[in-house]
Amino acid sequence: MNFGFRGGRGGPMHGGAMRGGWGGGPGPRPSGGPPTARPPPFDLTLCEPMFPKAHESDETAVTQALLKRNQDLSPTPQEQASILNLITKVKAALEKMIVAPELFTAAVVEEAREVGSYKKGTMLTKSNVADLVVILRTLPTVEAVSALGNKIVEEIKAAEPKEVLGCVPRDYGCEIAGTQAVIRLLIATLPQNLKMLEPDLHLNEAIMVRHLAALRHARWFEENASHSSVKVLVRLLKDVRKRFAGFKVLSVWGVELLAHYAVMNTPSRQALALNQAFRRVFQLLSAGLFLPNSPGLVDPCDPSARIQQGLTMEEMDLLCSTSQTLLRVLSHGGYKQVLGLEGSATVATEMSFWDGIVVTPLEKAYDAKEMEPLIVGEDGNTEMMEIQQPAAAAVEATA
Amino acid sequence: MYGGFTPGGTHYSTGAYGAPPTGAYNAAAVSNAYAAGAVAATPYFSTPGYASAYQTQSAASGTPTTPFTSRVDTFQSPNASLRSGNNSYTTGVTRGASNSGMPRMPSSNTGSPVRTNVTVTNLSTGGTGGTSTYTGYDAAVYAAATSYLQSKATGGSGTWLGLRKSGGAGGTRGSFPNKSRGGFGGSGGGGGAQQQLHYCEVCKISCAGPQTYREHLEGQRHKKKEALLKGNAQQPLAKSKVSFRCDLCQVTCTGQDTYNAHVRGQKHLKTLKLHQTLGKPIPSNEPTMIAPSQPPPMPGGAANAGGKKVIGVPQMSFVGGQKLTTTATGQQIEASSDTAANEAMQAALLAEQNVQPVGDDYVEPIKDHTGKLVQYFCKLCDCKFNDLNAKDMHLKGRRHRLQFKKKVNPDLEVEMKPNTMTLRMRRATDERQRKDLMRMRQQELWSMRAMYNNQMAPTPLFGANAGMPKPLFGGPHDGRHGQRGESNDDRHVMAKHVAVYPTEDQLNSVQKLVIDTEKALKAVSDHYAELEKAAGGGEAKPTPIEEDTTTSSTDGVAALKLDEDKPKAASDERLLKGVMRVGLLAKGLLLRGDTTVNLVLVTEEQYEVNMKPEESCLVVKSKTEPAIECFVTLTSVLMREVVAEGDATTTRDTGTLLPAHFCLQALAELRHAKWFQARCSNLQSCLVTLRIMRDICQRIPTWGPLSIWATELLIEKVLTSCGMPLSPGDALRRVFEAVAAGVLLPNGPGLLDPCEKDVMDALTGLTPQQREDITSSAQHALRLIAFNQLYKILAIDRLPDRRVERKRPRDSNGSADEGRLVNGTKKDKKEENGVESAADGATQAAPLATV
Repeated sequence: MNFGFRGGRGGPMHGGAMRGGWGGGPGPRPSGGPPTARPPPFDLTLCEPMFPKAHESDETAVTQALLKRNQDLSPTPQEQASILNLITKVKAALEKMIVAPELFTAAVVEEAREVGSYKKGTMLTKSNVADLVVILRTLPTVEAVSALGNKIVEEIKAAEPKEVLGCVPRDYGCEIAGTQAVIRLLIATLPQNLKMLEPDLHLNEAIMVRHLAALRHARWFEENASHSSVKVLVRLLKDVRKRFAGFKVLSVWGVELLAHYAVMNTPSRQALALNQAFRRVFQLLSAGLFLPNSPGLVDPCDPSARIQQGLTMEEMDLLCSTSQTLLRVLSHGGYKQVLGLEGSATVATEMSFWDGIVVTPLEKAYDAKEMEPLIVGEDGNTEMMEIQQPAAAAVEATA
Repeated sequence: MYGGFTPGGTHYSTGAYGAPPTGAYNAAAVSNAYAAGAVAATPYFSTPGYASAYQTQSAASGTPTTPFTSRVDTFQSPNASLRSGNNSYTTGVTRGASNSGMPRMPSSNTGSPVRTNVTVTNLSTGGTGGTSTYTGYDAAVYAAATSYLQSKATGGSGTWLGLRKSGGAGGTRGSFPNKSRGGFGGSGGGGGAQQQLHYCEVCKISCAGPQTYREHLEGQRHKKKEALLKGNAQQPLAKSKVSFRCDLCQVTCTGQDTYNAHVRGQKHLKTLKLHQTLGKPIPSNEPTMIAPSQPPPMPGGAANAGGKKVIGVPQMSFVGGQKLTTTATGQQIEASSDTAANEAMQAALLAEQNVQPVGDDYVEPIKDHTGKLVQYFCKLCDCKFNDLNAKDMHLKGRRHRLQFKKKVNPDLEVEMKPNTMTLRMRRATDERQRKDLMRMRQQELWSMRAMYNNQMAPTPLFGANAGMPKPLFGGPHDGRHGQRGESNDDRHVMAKHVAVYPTEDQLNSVQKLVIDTEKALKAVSDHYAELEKAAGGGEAKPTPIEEDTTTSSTDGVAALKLDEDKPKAASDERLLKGVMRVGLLAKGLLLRGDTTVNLVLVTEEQYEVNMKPEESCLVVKSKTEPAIECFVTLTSVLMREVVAEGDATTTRDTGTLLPAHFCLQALAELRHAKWFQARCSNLQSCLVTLRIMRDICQRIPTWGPLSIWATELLIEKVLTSCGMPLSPGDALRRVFEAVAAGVLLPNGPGLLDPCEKDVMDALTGLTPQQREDITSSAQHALRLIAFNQLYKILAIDRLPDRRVERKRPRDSNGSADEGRLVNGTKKDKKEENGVESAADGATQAAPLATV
C-alpha cells in the first residue's frame, strides 16, 4: 500500500507526535500549541472485527443502482472511438517530432504521455476530453507552444484533408479540438528547466509543475488503482462531486485517492465490494478524515503533502457536513438521490423525509472566532473576548 | 661517530643515517640526522647543499652540547652584509625530536635544546647550475630551516619577534629573515631586481610596505596567530575526525575536502607564490594528518621534515622505519598511546573515504542568461553555492546526506555524530529515565491498589472480611494522556470530568449505605445458617425474617418448588449466596448527583419482597443527607433457566414469584458488571469517556434513549478498535467519529451484545428516528470538536489556551506548569489529575497490549 495513512506513526504509543501533522494549509489553525497528530479517524471497515453484524441487510438494490449509474456515466462507444481516433493521430504527429526534431524547430519534444481520466479509464460521458502531457526539452514559450499545436493540426490535415480540426492556445498549452473529441496538450518542460521560466515569456511555472504531477498521478494510478471497482467508484464520486456543492472542494486527485483508499484499504487487503466502498467514502468523510487535526490521506506522489492541505477550514467543514448528511440519507434508503438517479441535490441542504424519518441537514460548525487562541494574561484578563455560550447549546440545537 | 649523540637528549635515529639520500623522504631523514648536530651553511659556498652537509658533519663531530648560537652569531654579521645580494636568508634550525613521531621538545635534560643556526644561501636567483642536482638535498635543508623558525617561536626563546620589531638590533640570531632590513635592500647584486618584501613569517604573508607591515604586526590577526604559535592558545580541532594540516599556510582543515579546497584556494596559492618568489622552502602538497582527539602539533616542535608528514601514523615509512635508540619505558608508553591514536585515525580516515558524494543530480548549476555559470543550487537542501569546492563539500556533508536519505534514498547510511548528544539532549534523557523510574514505582503502587479495588466477584459477604470498607472507585482518572503532551481537547475533557466526578461526601455516604446494607444481608444470611444448623440440615425451610429495613422475605412456594434441589444444596451452601454491586456502583461510573445504587442478592431461592415486589427489589434508603437509595434486587440463576424454557408465563401466573423480567435484568446486570471489569476498567481513557458520555446522555435529550449498557458497549468497542492507547480528548473524539460514521444508524452493524447467548443488538430499543437524531447530533459535535469548540459539547467554559512555549517537560508533581497556568484552582487540580492519570495509565497499558 502506498498510503502512509496507518503507518508511519511508529509503534503503539503516540509518542511520535508529528509536528504539524496536517501541514500548513491555508486558513487559521486550531489553537493550543502545535497541532498534534491524532490517530486516524474511526473507520468502520478497518474495525470490522470489533463490530460484528448484529443483523444482515440486503444491499443488492444498492449495488444494482450503483452499476446502473456507472453505466450511465461511462462514455458511449462512439465517444470512445472518436477520442481514440483523435489521440492516435495526435500522438503519431508528436512522435514524428520526437524522432525527427529537425522538422519542427520551434521546440524540442522530449516525450508525450497520456494522463488524466483518459489514461486512468475514469472518463465521464459528455466530456470527451483526453489529456496529453507533452514534455519539451526547450523552454515552453507561448509562441513555441502554439506553433507546436498548429504543426500537429497541419500534420493531421496533411494526412487527412477532410478532418475538421482547430488549435486553440490555452494557459496550460493548447487544445486540439475535433468535432467529436478534444485533446488537451498539457505542456510541461524538464524539471531542471522549471527554474528558468519567466512569467511573461513562458507558460506559468505552477501549471508546468501541475502537469508533471499529473504524470506521476497517472503512473501511480496505473500501478496501484487499476482495480475496476476503484475506477467505477472514481466515476461515481466524480459525478457526486459535480452535483453536490460540498464535494466540489475535493480535487480529482483527492477523489481518486479516496476511492482507492475506500476500495483497497481493508483488513484483508481484498478489494471491498462496490456498495460498501461507496458507503465507506461517506463514512470516512463523516468521521472527519479531512477535518483539522486528522492525519488525513498522504499523497503517495508527494509524501510531504496531505490531500486536505489545499482545503480551507470552511471547505473542510462544508465537505464533512455534506457527506454527513448524505450518509444519513443513504442509510435511510436514499441512495437514488445521492447517486442522482432520482430527485435533486437538495437532500444535502434541505430537510427530507424517508419513511417517516426526518433527516435534517447540518449546520456549519466552523467559526473563525473560535479558532483563535484564547490567552489569559497573568492578571487573569482574557486577551481575546469570546462568546461564552451556555451549556451545549449547539449540540442541542441539532438534536 | 654519532653514538655520542644519543645521550645528548632525544631520539636520534641512527637508522636514518645509513640511508642514502635517494628520495625526498630520505633526504628529509638525512637532514634530520644532520640536524642532530649543527648545520651551518655560509653563503661563501657555491653549493650550499654540500656546504651544509659538510658543515654539519664537522659540527656534529664536535661536542653537541655546545650551543652553536654563539658561533652562528659570529657568522651572522658578515653574513648579513653579504647575503642581501644573493637573495638568501638565514634561518636557524633546531633539530628537535628528529624522528618526528614525537611532538615534543627535545633534550629536556640539557635544559635548553640543542640548537643550531643554519645559514642557508639560496642561490635560486643567482643561479648556479650545480644546485639543481641537489634539489632534494636543498629541500631537506630548507625544511629544516623552516622548522627552526617554528621551534624558535614556540620554544623557550620566543624573542626573535621582538628582535625583529626592533629592527634587528642586538645582532643575535634574530637577524634572519628580514631582507629589507637596514640599507641592504637596495644593494642588490646579480640577483636581479630585489623587491622590497615585508614578509611575516608567522602569517606567511607579505606586506606592501613597512607601514602596512607594522600595522599587520599590531593587528589582531597576527596576534592571534602568534599566540597560537607560542602555544598559548589551543586550536580547536575536530575530536572525531582526522584533521589535515597545510604546512605551508599552517592552516588546519577538518577534512580531506576542506584541505583540497584550501589547496585550490586563493589564499594558499598566494602564499605559495609568495614563497616561490622568496625562494622559501615549500612543503609538499600533502597534508599533515592529525589523528582525532590528538593535541594539535606544536608547529615546528615536531620534526618538520619536508614532504609528507604524518603525525601518529605508523604506515608512513619514515616513521615506522625508525627504531628508537633510547627505549625508555616512558617512550614505550607513549608509543602505545600513539598506536591507539593511530588506530583511531585510521578508522576516521576510512570513514572519511567511505563518504562518497551523493545526490549529484540534485545539484543544479544555475547559469545566468549568457550561459555563464553563476551558482549551484542543491534542490534537496535548498541551498546555493558559489563554487565547485563548496558544492563538492556539500555533497559529502552530513546535512546533505541526511536530506538525501530523507528525500531520496532511505537506505543511505548517515553516520551519527559521536558527540551529537548535546547537553540539553542528555539532560532530557536523564529526565526521561527518571520519569520511567517514577512510573514504574507508581505502577507497582497502582497494581497493588487495583488488587484491592477490583474485587468484582460477589463480595465475600459471608466471609471473614465482610463489611470491610472497600474503596468504591478506583480513582477518577485513568487516562495516560501525559505522554504526548495534553492537547487542548484533553484538557477540556479532563476539566469536565472533574466536574462530573462525585464529591467526596457523596462517595462516603454511598459507601456507608452499601456497607450497612451488605452487613444487614450478612446478618440475614447468618440467621438462615443458624436456622439450618438448628434444623439439622434435614428440613430446609427457612422462615421469613424481619429486617430493620422492613424487608421481609418469604419463600413458600418457591422453596416447595425447588424442593428436589434442596437437600444437597442446603447442607453445605448458604441460602443467600452473596451480594454483588452492579451497575454504576460496580463500574465506578457514578456521577455527581446520582442517588441510586444497585446491589444484586444472589440467592439459592427465589424471593418475594414486600417492599417493592413489582421491581423485585428492596430499596434501602438512608435518612441522612444526601439521600442515597440502595436497590437490592433479588434474583436467582434459576430464573434464567426458567425463562429460557419458555415457562415465563406459568411462573408469573403463580403470583408468588418475583417478576421474571426484573430478575433477569438483575442477572444481566451481573454479567455486564463482570464484562465491564474484564474489558473496560483497564482500557485507557475508557472510564473518563464513559463518565463524560453518561453526562451527555443525561443532559441532552437526544442522547437520552441511548442506554447505559449500549453506551458502555459502544465505547469499549470504539476505543479497543483503535489499537493504541488514546488520550481522553482523542478517545471522546473517536466515539463521536464512530457515531458520526453511522455505527448507530439503522443499516449499521449494530452493537452485538457479548453478554447474551443469542445474537442480540444492544441498540434494539432505539427507533430509527432516535438513531438518526443521535447520529446527526454526533456529526455536528464531531465538527465542533474539530473546530476547537469541544467546550460547547461539554457545557463548560472554554479553557484558556496553554502558552505555546513549553520550556521544560512537565515535572512529575505538576509544579513546572504552575505559574504558567492561570485560572485558579481548577487549573491546578486538572494538572494534578493529568499527572496522576499518567501514572495510572501506565499500569493499564500492559493489559491493554494483550487485548
